[in-house]
Amino acid sequence: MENRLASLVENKGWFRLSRFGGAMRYQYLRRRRLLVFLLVVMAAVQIVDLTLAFFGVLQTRVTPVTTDLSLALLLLLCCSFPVAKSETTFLLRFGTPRTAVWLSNIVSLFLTGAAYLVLSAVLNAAFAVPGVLLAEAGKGVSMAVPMPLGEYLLTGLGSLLRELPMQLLWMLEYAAIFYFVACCLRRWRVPTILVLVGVPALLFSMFLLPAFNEVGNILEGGGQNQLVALVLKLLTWLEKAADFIAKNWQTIQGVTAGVALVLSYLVMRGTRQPE
Amino acid sequence: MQDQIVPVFEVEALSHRFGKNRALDGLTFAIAPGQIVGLLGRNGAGKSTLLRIASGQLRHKEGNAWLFGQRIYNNTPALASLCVIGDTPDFGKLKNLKQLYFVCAGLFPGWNKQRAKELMEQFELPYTAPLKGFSRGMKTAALLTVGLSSGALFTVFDEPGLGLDAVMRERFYDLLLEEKQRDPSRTFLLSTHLIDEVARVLDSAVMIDKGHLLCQANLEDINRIYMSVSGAPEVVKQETEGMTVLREEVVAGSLVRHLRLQSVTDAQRLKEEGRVQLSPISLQRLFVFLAQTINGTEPVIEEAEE
Repeated sequence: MENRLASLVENKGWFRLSRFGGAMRYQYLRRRRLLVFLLVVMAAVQIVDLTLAFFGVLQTRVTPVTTDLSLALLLLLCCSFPVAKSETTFLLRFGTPRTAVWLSNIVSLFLTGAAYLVLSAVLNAAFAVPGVLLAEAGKGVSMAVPMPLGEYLLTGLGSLLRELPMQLLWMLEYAAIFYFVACCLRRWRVPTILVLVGVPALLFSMFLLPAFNEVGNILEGGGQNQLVALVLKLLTWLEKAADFIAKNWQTIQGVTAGVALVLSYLVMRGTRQPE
Repeated sequence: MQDQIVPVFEVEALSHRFGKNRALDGLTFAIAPGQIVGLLGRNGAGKSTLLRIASGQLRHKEGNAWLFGQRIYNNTPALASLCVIGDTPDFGKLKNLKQLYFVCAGLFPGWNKQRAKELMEQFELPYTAPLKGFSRGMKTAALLTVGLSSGALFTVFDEPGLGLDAVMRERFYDLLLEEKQRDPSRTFLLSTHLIDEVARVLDSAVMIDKGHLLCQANLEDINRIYMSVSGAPEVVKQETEGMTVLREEVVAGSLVRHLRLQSVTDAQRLKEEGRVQLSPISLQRLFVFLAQTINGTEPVIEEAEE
């Protein structure tokens, strides 16, 4: 018996032993339907749009050959909650090690976002073809910069290839962040909601309340110039803060994702499995 | 040099509490490889808690628990050899058996696809029909096919008969014995209330109550050591003096003592003398007697003397 276990451990790699493959199979079945559904909805919207333009019911613009980044992020956010809860529960019930479940959750979320990005770009490119042709024929479709179909597709593809690697990295980062939030919500629902709502509210009030008080004091004192100076000071501070965040956004996002990745494992590892 | 036999599952002074409720209280036992073992206990005895610890779903707080000599919680090599079929059918969001088997092929390193399809036919289950439309019995049967086809060295079935009709339950027990014959290295743990029903397939039994071990022994030893002795009251009292009496009943003027013999030679002697009648105690009755009389202090039966 001992030999049997030893041979099992020796002959099968971590991939098989940890059930990571099975977990990924489950995630694939879950995500596949959702992705197909979303792409069908997107295609239907484009078809309706072009058909209405063709018959002159409305004026539309040619679809740009780009990814739907914002929708991909929304999709990640929506998927992260069932992934952290019901899907994790299902996999753990079969005795799947938590490390494998955690890894499969992160990987599947990333792949879902990445697949949606790529497929949405392909879909947009596909619908750009009839769009450009309709624009050339003057059938209710306009282009920002009129150009032939081939050039339009090549330009779009060029910018897409430049942007895609960075967007895929963002997908990975946001997958980690959203999954961490979902894990926290599963384990400590009320405290997590309090932190998510309370911390921004606290910062906002800490910043604004003194400002309001100062404005009140100035108005009571009747100092118009002082008020203008205060508003200017405030605006300058806000501009500096926004500038700092914009300049360092990649770093902030990357560090947050890294921390979220580690913490999500720790939170998920210690979460009690429901009976 | 001979290989040392490592127990498939072993717990030592295992305790776990949920708030003030002590689910397991210093439980110690070991399951040897290649057996079908019954985990028998009343509601709230701690069976589910024990199984959740065994399957790595729950981290125990006191004592030790090992699978194949290794710690359990989040330990990949130990969990790779395990398949747990719970008492609540949970198929996640899977649509049909085809999808379930597709996932299981990735979950269990020893998965036997051919066997799964054979078992599916034996349990009369449809391959592509929606799992949502399955009856409770069909859902249980679907999970039983997973457990039997998983090829896992240690397979745990929690209440495998739940929702199944008598025919299907018997079929499951037959298939379990068949699976055991096909691969003698596999070990099965059945947690159940249907004690007498599973007795025919069990090699040994672990009885627990209120988180304590009542008794652990193989069924052969149980049948040799625990006996019902009946006859004229005076004779029965005289012949069984000094033995551990679990329960005493008077039936139609005869005294029946359900007891634990001091050794197997006692049974032989009583048979030879012929003054009292001897009969084995059914597993279910024994469990009831132990649960009511011993209150968790009964030690594991020692190897019976030949």
